[in-house]
Amino acid sequence: MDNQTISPRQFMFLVILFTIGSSIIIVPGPLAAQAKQDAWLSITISLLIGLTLILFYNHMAKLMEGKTFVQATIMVFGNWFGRFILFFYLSFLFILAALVLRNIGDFMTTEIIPETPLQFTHILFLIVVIWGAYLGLEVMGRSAEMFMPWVFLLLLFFTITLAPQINVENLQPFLGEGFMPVLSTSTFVIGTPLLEMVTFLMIFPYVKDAKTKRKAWVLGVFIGGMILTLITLLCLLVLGSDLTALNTFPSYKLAQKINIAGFLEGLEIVIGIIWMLTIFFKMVVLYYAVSVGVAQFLTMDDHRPLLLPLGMGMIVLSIIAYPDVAYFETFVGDTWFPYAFTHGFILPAFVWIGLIIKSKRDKKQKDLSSHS
Amino acid sequence: MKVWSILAIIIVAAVIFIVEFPLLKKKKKDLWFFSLFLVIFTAISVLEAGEVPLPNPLDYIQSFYQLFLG
Repeated sequence: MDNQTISPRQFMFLVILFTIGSSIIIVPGPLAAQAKQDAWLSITISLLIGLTLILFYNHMAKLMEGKTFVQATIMVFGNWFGRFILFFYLSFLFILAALVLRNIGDFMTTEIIPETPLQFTHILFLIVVIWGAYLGLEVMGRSAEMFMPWVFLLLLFFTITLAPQINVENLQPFLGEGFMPVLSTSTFVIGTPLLEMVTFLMIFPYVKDAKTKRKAWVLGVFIGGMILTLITLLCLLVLGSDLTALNTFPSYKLAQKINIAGFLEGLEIVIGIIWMLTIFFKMVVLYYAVSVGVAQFLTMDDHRPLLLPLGMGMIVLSIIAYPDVAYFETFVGDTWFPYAFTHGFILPAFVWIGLIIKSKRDKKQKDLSSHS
Repeated sequence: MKVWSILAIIIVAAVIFIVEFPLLKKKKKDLWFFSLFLVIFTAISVLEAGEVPLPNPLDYIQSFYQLFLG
């Protein structure tokens, strides 16, 4: 909005944090329930599909010529039909942000602060997110750069301290259930977080350095995906597939197992900190994209006035979204993938075709005018 | 309890308006859209605080995709 730019490296860190945030909570459980001990393999498969998806987004961003997704869609499809498409795109981002907020709220109320009502956890968390979105993209990029080493160090600490409890037999038999469950569950990780990467089409134009930023996007998704694979693998190796599937927060359960020589225990807050940091960055990216998107949708000068009113709506949505845990499980398990697929792939593909036709037509016109 | 939370929401909305208004005085369009969003979402928040059952957008999404998935 206000000509702030970030470097490709900061962008990559944002992508990594976005990939890990909230997926780290919800991915291992359902995957282990269906693919059993091969859950880690299905993440790897979906990561490969996800990387081709990023190549598609990259090509699309190239065609958008420095415009955000909202501006490009309005340019291609005109004021009315373009806005009709964008209404769905922006509502997708808004709902996603509310659901991510609910993820961290649910985690905090069940594990860390059970006495505090959900609303207040959400309000407190969202105030920080609004502050971040108010300060803008540069601040987001710089703070991602600051917190990235912490996330890496805590993950490293987590892996090393769990290493003695690894039991390789938990991974056997390899492909014991056949290949089909592995393939069918890979849609889960494609739905969250890989198709959610469509959010970055709102931020991509504000990244400097056209060549390296494409590589940064692919590399960021790759590293984030590897971290997800690592967490799921650790869950399977230490807890086994049955316990992983039974727990609401398997990786938190995993951290409770950390026991250093019998005197250092109760380190589960380490993984709690990783969650809070990554979810904060996911929220801030989503929130920034939503508010900038709405502001460009309405051709406003600045996105900042929208931040607080949108926050009020988001808190209500995040509270009414999931009446109970069963609703959450069916929604994330069954509905989320088709919902994310229509908004993360079909809708952008539609705009992509429009962009190609438009760029060809522009080229023709240029040729005609140069000949005459 | 219900009354207090409704009152708190209205006070928060008023504070937001008072804070933002001086910054938006000159930009008429921004002011209109900002006020529109604030009024709509304050109304929704008040309804939620008043324990009025609100429609859940996720229900519509779910029933829409159930048409295709069966």
